[in-house]
Amino acid sequence: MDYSTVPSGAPILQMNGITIRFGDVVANNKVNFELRKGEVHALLGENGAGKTTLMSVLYGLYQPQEGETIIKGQKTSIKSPNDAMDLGIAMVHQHFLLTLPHSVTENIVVGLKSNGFFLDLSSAERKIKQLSEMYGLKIDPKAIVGDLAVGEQQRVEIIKALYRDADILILDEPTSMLTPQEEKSLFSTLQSMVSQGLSIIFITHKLREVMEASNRVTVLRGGKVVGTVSTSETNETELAKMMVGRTVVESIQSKATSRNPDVLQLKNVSALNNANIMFLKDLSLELRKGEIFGIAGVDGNGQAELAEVVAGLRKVQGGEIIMDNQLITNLPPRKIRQWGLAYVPQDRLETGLILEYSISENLILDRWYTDEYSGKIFLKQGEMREFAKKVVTDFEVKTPGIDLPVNSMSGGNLQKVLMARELARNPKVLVVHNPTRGLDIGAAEYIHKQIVKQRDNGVGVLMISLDLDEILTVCDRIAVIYEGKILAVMDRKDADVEQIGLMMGGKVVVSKEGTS
Amino acid sequence: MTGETEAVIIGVIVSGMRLMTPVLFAALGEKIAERSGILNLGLEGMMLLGAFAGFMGTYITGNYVVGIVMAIAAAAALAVLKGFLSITIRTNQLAAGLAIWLLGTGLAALLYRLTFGIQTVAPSVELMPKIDIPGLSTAPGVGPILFNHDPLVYIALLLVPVTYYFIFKTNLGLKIRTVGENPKQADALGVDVNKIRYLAVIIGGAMAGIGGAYFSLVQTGYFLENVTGGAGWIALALVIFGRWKSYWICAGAFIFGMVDSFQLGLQATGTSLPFQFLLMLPYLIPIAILAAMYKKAGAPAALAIPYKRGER
Amino acid sequence: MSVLTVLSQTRQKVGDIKFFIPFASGALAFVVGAIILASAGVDVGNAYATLFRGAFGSVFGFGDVLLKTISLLLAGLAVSVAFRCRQWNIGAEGQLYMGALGGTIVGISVLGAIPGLGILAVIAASAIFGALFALVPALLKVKFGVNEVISTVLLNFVALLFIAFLLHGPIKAPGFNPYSPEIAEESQMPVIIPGTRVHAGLIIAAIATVGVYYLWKTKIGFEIRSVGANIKAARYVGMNVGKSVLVTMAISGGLAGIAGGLLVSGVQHILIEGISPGYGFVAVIIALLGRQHPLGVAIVAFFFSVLMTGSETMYRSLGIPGAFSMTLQALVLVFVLVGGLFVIWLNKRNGRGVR
Repeated sequence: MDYSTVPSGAPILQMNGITIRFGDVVANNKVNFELRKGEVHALLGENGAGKTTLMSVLYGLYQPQEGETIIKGQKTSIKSPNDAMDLGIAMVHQHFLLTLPHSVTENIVVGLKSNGFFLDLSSAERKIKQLSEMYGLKIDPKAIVGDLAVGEQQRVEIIKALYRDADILILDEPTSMLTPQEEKSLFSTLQSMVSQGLSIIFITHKLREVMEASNRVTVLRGGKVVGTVSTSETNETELAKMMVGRTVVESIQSKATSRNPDVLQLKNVSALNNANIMFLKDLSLELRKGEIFGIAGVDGNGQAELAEVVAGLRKVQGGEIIMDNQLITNLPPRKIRQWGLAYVPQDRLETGLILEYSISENLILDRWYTDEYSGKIFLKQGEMREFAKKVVTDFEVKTPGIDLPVNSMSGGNLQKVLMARELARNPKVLVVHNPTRGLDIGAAEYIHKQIVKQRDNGVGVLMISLDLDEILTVCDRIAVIYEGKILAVMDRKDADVEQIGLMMGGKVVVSKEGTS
Repeated sequence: MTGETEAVIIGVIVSGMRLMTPVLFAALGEKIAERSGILNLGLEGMMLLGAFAGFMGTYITGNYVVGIVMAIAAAAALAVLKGFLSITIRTNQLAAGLAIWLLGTGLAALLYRLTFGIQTVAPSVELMPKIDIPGLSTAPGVGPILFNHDPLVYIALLLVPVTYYFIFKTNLGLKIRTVGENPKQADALGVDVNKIRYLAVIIGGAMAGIGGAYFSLVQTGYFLENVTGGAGWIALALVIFGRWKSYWICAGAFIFGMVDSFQLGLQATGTSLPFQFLLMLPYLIPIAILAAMYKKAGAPAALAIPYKRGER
Repeated sequence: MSVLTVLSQTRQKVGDIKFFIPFASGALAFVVGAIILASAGVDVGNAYATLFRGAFGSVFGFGDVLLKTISLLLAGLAVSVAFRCRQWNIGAEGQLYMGALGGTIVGISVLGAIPGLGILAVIAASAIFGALFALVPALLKVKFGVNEVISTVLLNFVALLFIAFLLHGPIKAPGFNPYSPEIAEESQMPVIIPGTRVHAGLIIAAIATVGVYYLWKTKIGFEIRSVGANIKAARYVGMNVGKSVLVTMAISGGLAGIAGGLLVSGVQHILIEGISPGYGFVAVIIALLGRQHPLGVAIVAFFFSVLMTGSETMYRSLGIPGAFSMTLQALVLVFVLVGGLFVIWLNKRNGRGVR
């Protein structure tokens, strides 16, 4: 595809009326998007807004149910990444698609249609060096990708795109793993690419990036386009409003807890993520007895790591975790649970439950060895079933049968079972991560009711959630996590949605009397 | 070194090279399949079917090439089935492999008996003749070791650098490796993950077939049930031992061949060690090696994991 | 009609299809077998008639079906126990032989001649020998991470060679043949169905089936199952994975060992090479098909016994090789695996996503 005939500033790509549904969820709802030649266009939105989905459609990974894509004035149908690449569209994914044991060159040239039978690494290396110099992307083509720093790995991804003569480059959350220096370097690279005639789309939730690096920005919310503006004509506050703006219905009474003692403290906790990058950086927070403490933030800022260090599933590299005056840093999960922690992970199926087991078996997964549920040799089936029956009644669990495997139950009911198990321990601290993700409204409301009940009984609840609505309606105090740190803590009554939006996007707001 | 000892040592090495050949074929082929992410536990079955088909082809036509071609075809057909189960149906690769193993074993024995029935004198083919390079093959010491083997030995040894070159120096090889390490990346770059895996498993099957045919056409001249004697399983262990690299796999196969030959030689010299213990060595050594390796390093990251676009 | 109703109805239908697959696979296997036989010029109708006649046509024949069921059931249970913990024990044949060895050693010793105790001692010894032999790959896996598929398969060969060695020397009966001496009469299983060779081992196999059923209701059984079902969740709640692996393999080897012991004590009364025509390998198919449920294993074991017994008759009367039954058994497995695709396809068609 030859884009050289398109004048700078003219539309090069248009997506009209894109609608795509996954089951009941409408990920993109009649989305219109336009990219002009030579611009850096930011796609801004919070979790689940539909940004990555839209770009996946453009890259041929998904087919929309409605809408059309027009490139250079011509309607085109992009059925696979191959089609996208033929049209000069390249995508750098948020989680890099690289083969670590291979060299930079091997990662870049694999699958190229122009390849002959024999691997010609030397001419590929030359071309890579050329591109590297042209765009200021320092990289050694012979290096093994596994040995490179994250910023360098990203350069490999970008060169991968440029090597394939990309004219339109899509970057998905490009700075999520970069240091500030690497970020600066990336932005100047974007400028030099644009000056060479490329057009760039980058997906982000970070307001500062939008302001720094883009010419125009399109804001998505709940699958719909809120608006497209020139970056020079807007500011972070306005963008935050567009990104997050909502009127929130308050239905749950928040409690004033300033006089309650702390039941969980994290002091300067640092931890690595799975890619061995320091993901929690000096994080501190205090959870009080009898409160629901919400942690808002965009996915990928350390939420999972935070939950895991508290539950003992992830090593803490620095700092301390104290629960009810007991040091629980780096203790085995079983111990931490014995001392009063209940944990409902976001991945209820992988770590929380065993799908082929029945309700009663899942309920005793963490206590099968206790006298209550087993004799010398055999499990006490009667007691297990009684427990299950009680849970089904108390928690209004809809199930075709308490002896059937739970894999036929809906997400909401599975979550109820998981919560019931954790709560049956009468914990001191309850950590819930995305507790109502994927649940219908009825189930979600029920889970919230249970959480509030725990709070009213004096339990300290740490709720980490990607759903801002949930945080704003249920929690007593709210904090925002950004890049592994807690930015600010405020009472719900003082919570300002715009401010929270700003903080989610990385802009620290001077707090009022928020930290009570 | 006395002339007799020297002769024995040479004899052991020569014999060892023949014993290592079928295992080498199968291991090199399996290496290619595993590099693409497919684990083939049915290797033994493919070899047996290849042994039978190779025997049949040669028996009927008197032509070794026809035999080898039929061995390749039969084993490759079984490989297609393995691919279908593992790539298209994405079933548990263990179950699929075991099914292929038992199917290949059963079919080979069944078809053989159905064809030949029970005969007082078992049908046989003439053993594949050795290549005789005039002058060289009679050279002292080196001669018999290097220059007096049947063609398949040379082909197997040749395949070592060929497979190395194929996997590391060609674009198709790079595709195979990438599919085995990061199928998502390959898919996003337009590589047909399934097609590559089918190709790799079929190549693996073909080579296993040749390895199987070696037993019937070179080592025995008959088809016997279970003539392969676990060679397919040893090949699987060798791939791990060789860390999916051709030259190391060859080294491992060589060790195996020498051990096997050594114990046969010991039997011949009438040692007091019961021969059964010697026969155990070829099976115990791979286990010991695997234990010593302690956590194999370098397995293709996507080995034995089915791939589906869009799945996280 | 609400979405839930449609979904549950479809679920029932799909559930039915899932149930239907093993039978369809069996039928298809017979069809393919027929094709193979026909292409070899065999009269298929006659062949299959002979098969059924061999299995069901006489009391003695049916007795042999039950006899084989003893071995296949015990071996199948052995493998299914291991599979339940995701331990891929392909070494049941070797463990079976080691069990036979243990039973023989006791049977020809003084211990075996004690009335009343002889049989029990034989069974105990075979279980112990089998269990110990299975602990070798288990320890290799737990301590050194050795892939148990490869180690158990290779150890099969080692076991057979070891026994061959013993039969040619240390425990050879006087004479030229590589057999062991006959075990004491007090160690021989009594025949329980007159007119057949069916011995009390059938009761032991039945007890074992019930035993495995109850195993899964015990504390340790729960741990084993959990490790096999979801090792992440099991670790999270603090279960001891290594212990589960060792216990599982010991039980697995023990059951296979008893199968071997019964072959000596119940039928042959001596140990010979080839006492098992590959029961340990067929057991792998049985375990995969029986879906890890003892009753399922029993049913499949029975049908495979029918197949193997009838196949023997086909061989005696028509010369059709014994490998026919192994081929059919493998085909059943292949078709069941293919059937899995069918279920997935049906699920997709009915909009049932993967959770």
